[in-house]
Amino acid sequence: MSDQSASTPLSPHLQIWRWTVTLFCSITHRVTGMALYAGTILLTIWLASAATGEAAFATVQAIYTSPFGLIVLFGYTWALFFHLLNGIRHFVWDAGYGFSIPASRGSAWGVVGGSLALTIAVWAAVFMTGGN
Amino acid sequence: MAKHGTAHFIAQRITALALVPLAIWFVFALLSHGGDTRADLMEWIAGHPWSVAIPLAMLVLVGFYHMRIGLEVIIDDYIHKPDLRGMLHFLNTFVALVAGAIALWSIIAITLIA
Repeated sequence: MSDQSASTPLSPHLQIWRWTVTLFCSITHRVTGMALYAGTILLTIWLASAATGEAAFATVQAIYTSPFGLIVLFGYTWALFFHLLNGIRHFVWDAGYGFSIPASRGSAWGVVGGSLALTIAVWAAVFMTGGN
Repeated sequence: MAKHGTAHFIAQRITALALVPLAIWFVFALLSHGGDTRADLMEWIAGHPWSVAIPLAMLVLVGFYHMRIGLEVIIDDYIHKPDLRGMLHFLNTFVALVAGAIALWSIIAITLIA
């Protein structure tokens, strides 16, 4: 590869492009998709522990409500809202709307801000009701 | 699903569409039941087959299918060594199937135990 790159141009990658909010949403959609895969395995473990027995459930609940567990669950919540909102943004594109630069930039900021606001709202509700 | 682009695109969109209401329902449901005791959680799932157990089963089954085909595209895009790519495709399908089976079994088991 190294002698090839000296003679032939390679397609630019992440470290080459100037960072924009639209680029951020594009790559983050994939990253959050992968994070949700892992997060849904956590949901599966939670359900399986409840089906297994009292001790298994208590262990899983203790790990999930530990400070580290809560940080992971907070991240899972944000990944879910981001992927959900950006997925809706993709549906709008699929329908043929929102392709202009101002529209795609605006919707990208909407996804970033909306996902953060919804995540904070959900966790504020969790702590106010003492749910976890 | 290489060389089956249209079917892949449609499957991705249909599962995505189904997951929008399921994901929103799930977040709100967890607000009230995320901190449940085991007995409360089991009663909630077993006591509401149509409004909890089945949506929950759909969420994990449609979810794992959506994740499998989504990760498939990511593997195709970034992994260029044929052997490694083939192995990751197998692993992706395997994990999604096993996790989906465990989740479905758990929901059924909870329904039967409670």
